[in-house]
Amino acid sequence: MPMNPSRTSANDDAAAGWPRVIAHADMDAFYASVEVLDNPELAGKPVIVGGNSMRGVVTSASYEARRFGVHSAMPTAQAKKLCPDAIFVGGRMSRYAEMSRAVRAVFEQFSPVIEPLSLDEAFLDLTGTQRLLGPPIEVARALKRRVREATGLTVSVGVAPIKMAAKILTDMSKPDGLLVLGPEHVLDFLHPLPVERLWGVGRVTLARLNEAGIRTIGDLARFDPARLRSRFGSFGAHLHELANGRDPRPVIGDWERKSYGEESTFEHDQALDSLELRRVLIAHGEALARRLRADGVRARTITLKLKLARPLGGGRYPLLTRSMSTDSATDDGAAITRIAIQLIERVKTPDKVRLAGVQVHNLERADTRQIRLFDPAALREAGRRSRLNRALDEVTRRFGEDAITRGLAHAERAAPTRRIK
Amino acid sequence: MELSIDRTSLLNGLALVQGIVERRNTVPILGHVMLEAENGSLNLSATDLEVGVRTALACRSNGGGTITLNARKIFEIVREAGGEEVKLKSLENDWVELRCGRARFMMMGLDPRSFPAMPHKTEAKSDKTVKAEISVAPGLLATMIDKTIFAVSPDEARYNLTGVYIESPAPGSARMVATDGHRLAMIDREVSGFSMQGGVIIPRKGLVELRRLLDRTEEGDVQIQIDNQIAYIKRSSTEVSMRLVEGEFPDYKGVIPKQSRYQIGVERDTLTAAIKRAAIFSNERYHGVKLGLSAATLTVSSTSPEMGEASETIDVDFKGEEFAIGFNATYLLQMLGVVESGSDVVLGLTDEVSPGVITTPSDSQFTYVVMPMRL
Repeated sequence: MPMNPSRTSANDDAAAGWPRVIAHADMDAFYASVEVLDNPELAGKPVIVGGNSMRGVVTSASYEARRFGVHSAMPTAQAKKLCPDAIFVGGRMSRYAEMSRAVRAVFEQFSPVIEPLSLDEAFLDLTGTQRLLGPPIEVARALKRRVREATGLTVSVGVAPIKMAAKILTDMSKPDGLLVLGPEHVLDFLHPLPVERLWGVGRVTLARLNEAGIRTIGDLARFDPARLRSRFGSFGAHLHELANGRDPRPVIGDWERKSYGEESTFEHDQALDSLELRRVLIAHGEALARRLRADGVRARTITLKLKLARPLGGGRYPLLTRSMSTDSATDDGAAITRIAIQLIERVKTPDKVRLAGVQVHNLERADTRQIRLFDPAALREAGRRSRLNRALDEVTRRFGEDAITRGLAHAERAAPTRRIK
Repeated sequence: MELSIDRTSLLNGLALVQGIVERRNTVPILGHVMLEAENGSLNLSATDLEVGVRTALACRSNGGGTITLNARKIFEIVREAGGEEVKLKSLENDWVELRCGRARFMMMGLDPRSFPAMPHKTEAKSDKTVKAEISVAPGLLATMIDKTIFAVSPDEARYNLTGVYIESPAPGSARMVATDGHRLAMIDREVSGFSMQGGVIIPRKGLVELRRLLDRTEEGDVQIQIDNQIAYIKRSSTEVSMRLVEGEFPDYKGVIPKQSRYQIGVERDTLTAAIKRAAIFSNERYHGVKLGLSAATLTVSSTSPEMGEASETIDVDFKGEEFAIGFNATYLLQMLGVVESGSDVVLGLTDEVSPGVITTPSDSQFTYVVMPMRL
């Protein structure tokens, strides 16, 4: 069973027997908490961060607001109905990103292998840190304390030998919680949980699992793997493994990350030739380039992602992607944007666009570079660009992501609704 | 058209034109081979519009005629067929009957009139557009192609680098140069009677087809005609014609260092083996390896954040300040691969950012320039 730190005793003093020690850390009501931090008058009040338009959704809600049933991804209109006294704030992505960096800096004191899932959530691989930092539970306590000291914010932490369990623990511990699960307790912990707790079990899969009489993770673990395979293919085998506590996925540090992406849903559907679509791509291209530069990598492949405004039923929409690879890897926003915009031409559809995003893959480390024989002019141009980008990064670091943008892009309005790892 | 032909001879002819047929062609006719019979001879032609190959085979024909057939399918049929002789007969509506042993195939062809014209040679020898006409020994030409073609750029966006540049630096001398923007291979050879104003870029695919012809030992010299747009090659009964790559070849002379600070001699085989071993740990994309120089020692090494480190030392004659330079292992190995086994190579290095020059005493007219990479 998960152990609450207050009830932990000394017999948990080592990570002996842990194949891996994985911590999942999730900031509590992150955006809302940052708003309260910056404006103490909001303390103790229901605070909701999210778009004010009718189409907007709640991106974050303080625990006071959650008591009224408000949760993130809920339409703003509904949140207003549930909690009419809530204080709505527009959201300041650049401020949240800044706080996120401060949190990340704390994480880096605990592990070199950090896999961010979003601005407010990350996995940390603590395997092998016990000699340096102590047993997992002590490390997690110290992590919580230091985040609070450095930012004034609270974080909930789950520690387990597998990723999936660590994340579930965090969710259960919130707010300001800490739960640690030793390897010998993983199955006892997982099996009574409803099966939709497993990663990858969405609405459709859940209905089909229920049909087969599977309601808990334990039901799934005991189910005949051959029958699962015949019903769900290799995905069924994968779920069966997870249900039995076998989750081989390692924490993937972001230096070995495979791609970066940003996307946003439009307030109003956009035609393919709209300026707004281009504006959003520019904002995303610049933001991606900034992240690439911050991580010291460059990308060779640029992908344009569009969700068409043609409902397929069940809240689903057709998704299109178009990709192009370049001769040499880039971390330049203008180059990424140029390709993303070019890729629009490869999309043939009369439909409007509901969501637009840019992804980059095929990453290379920026410090490894093949020197070229020719094109001294191109080399000079690249040098100018990289100096410009360094200046941009410095301005952004000091004044926030919306302090400076390319002509057409207005950063604040194109703040991504989702960052993809 | 009705003819019979020796199966092996037809199979060799069809093999020759396979390379030219577009593998994923969207235009069906470009996936076809054209067969033209006339006076006891059968001409096979294939083209991708840029390059054309045509070869003449002896056959017993009953009158002339022309058909087209799917190049890959007819090749497979003739390869798998038994018997020594293949019989072809054209029927109505471009249908063709093929008999071989006791097997019979009915194949649908396409209208031969829709078969595109080959890039064709300039007929009049006095024509001013003819830049050069020469006859070359196949072995010499094969060496020149082998020692340059590997450095051609695969990047279609850098169009002017997708072929091998040919020029005549002096009367009676031929030069071929290839580069992908990261490294450059250059070879000179004496070719009597060759002189040409300016240079031309021969497309890679055309050279591959030409190279195929050069291995046939029983045939004679290769005839080459170059005009402003076309290179036309004939050897025995086979012709290859190709559209030249348009565009300016970069100023390659400007990037070949006049001299390097250090000249390091090393056995080709020793260096090749050391780089191959170090490359096991190098990054999949860059294949970066480091050459470190210190007193009398060359250290070939690589590091991988995931795997670890590899290093190996080779005794060399080096006196100077220690330094290390990174290279793409593939770029080094490809060059070493065309140097004769058992011979020496000389690494001309200056510092960690200047181009490296690799030469070999076994072929003093062959030069390779490779840009380092920062590791």
